[in-house]
Amino acid sequence: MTVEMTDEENIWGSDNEASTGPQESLEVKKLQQIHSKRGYLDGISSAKEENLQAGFDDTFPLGAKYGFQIGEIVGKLRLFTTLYGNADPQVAADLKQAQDELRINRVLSARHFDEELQPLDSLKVLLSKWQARVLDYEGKYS
Amino acid sequence: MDFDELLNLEQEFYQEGYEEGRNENLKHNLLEGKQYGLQVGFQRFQLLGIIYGISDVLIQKFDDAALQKNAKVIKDLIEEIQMDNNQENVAIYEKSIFKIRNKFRLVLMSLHKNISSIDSSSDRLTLEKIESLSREIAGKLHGYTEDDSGSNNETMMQDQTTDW
Repeated sequence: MTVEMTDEENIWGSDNEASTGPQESLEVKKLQQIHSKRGYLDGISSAKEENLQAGFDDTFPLGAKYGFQIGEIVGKLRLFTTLYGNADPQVAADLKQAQDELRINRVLSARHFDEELQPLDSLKVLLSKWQARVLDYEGKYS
Repeated sequence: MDFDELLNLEQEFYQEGYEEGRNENLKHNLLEGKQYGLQVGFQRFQLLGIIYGISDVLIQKFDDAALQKNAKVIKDLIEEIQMDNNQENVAIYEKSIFKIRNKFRLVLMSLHKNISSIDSSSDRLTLEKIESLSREIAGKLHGYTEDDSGSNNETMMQDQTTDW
């Protein structure tokens, strides 16, 4: 025994000093594994559904805004198709393309949102494109 | 290491794990809530956007008294609806949506009367057609899920049958 040894090592120490360290750390590691896993599982279930509602309320207005804007675009194109579709086949083609590009699963998609679900510029670009196209028709047929 | 120290160590490890698990699930729940919020907000307001857009254009295009009156009522009703999940505003939404649908039916009937005199070959726009268009865009989607494959992550939305 040297003077540098702590009490802790004394208690757990065997006659063979060299084997004490690794053996103990293995024990501690095992202990950590068991208890942190138990804690982890309890921690997971402690959270239950906490935060779900907060997240929902947080982004609902944003989803509503996009839904409404997209509705306006598609609704107007649909009306133009009824009014001018016979003479102007491009209207129906645009409606079809808008239905495809502005479908919910294309809009609420990982490519338009970051990891925290903040919208990226690409979504603004997409919506602006369609809003401009609708405005063109409104001008053309006013 | 004596018995007390051992117990402390166990407690410490447990606490570490507990915090980690709890934080992880809280973060997960927040994100999941946000996904649902975006989706449900989109679905609830998309039809209103269609109806508003159509009413807006019709007011500019047709000088028909009934159409003008009803389309303006529709626009007013929709403008009164706040786009959040606040309980009071949800109640206003629920109350107004029936009135809006009924008025919109009347508007489309006026529209048909007006255009069939000009062009009898044009398709007849009905509320059913509009609602079917709305469903095509807002979908029967009921979940916003991560793509498990990890490869093509372009679309996180997946069609699910959960009704909620």
